[in-house]
Amino acid sequence: MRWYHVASLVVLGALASCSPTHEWRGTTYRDPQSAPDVDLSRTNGTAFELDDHHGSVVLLYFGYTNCPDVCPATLADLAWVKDQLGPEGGRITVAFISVDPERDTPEAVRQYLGIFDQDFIGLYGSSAQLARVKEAYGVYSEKDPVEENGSYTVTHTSRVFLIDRAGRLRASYSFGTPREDLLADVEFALES
Amino acid sequence: MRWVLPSSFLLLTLGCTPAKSELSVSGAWARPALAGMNSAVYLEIDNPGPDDELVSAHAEIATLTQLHLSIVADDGTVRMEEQPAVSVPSGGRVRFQPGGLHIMLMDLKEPLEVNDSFPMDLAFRDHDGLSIPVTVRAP
Repeated sequence: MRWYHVASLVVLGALASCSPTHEWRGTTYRDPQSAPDVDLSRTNGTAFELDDHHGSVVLLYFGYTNCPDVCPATLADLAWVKDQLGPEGGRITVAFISVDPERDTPEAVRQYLGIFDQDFIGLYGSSAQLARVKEAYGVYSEKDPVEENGSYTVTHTSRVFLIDRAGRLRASYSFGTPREDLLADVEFALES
Repeated sequence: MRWVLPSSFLLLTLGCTPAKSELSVSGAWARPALAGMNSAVYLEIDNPGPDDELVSAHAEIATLTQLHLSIVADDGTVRMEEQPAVSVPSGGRVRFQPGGLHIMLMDLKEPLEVNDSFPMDLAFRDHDGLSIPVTVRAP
C-alpha cells in the first residue's frame, strides 16, 4: 500500500468521524421520499403547500378538537419541543389536520390550537381533500358514538409525522413516544 | 333475648352504612379547553382500606362526565372506551393519567383556563363519596 493510499484512508476516517451520526428515535422510512402533498387550507383561508416549508422541519399531526386526552397530550409535547428549541423553534412548522371536519370549523381549530401555541397551523379541506391526505399518510379514523344524543368521539391514528428540511417524510412517532426522543430527532433534522 | 334484637338491628344497620372514606385523592388536574368542547381530569386515588370501585364522577361544569380509558393499538390507532367502573384495589393506587384512564368532561358549559379550579364529585361502590377540587393546568 502506497503512502497516499494510507493518507486517503486516514482522511476518509477523519471525515467519517466528523459527520453527524444519529440514531433516529422515531419509526423511520427506509428510503425517504418526498412527503405526500398536503393540499389543504389554513384556518385563515390561505392555501397550505408543503413546498413552502422547505428549509424547515414540519411536524404533522392528525387529531380533532373534541379529543380530550391523546390529542392534547400530543400537542402539548409538540409545544414543549418547540419551546425547548428556543429561537430555533421558529424553524419548525407544526401542522394539525382535523379528522373530524363535521364539527371542527376553521375557527374552532384556530382557537383550539391557540391553547398550545399561537404558531401551530390548523389545516382543513373538503371531505375528499381530507380523505386523500389521510390515505397518503396511512391515517385511519372512524366515529364512535358516545351517547344517543349524537355526540361521538373519533378513533384515529395518532402519529406525528416528521418531514425534513428537504421535504422528505423521514419518521413517524406513535403516541407515548417520550418527548425527549422527539426533540432529539427534530434537533438532528434541523442540523442535517 | 331482650338485647338480641336491637343488637342485630345495629349490626344490620352498620353493614348497610357506606364505609367512611379512607380513600385519598391527590393531584387532580384538567387541561384547559374552550366552552362547548371536551377536557379530561387526571388524578390519583390511594386506597388503604378494602377493595372498592369508582363508579361515577360528576362535575357541574360539564354536561356529561364519564370514566374513560384510552387504548393505543399496535398500529398507532387510539380509541376511547367508557368504563362502567374503575377498580380501586385494597392497598393500591390508581392513576388516571394522559393516554390511559381519565375522567372525560364533555360539552363544557364554560371554558377552562389555566389556574381555574372547579369541584368534582366522585362516587364509590362502598366508600363515601368525595368532593374534590380540580385545578386547570397548562397543557
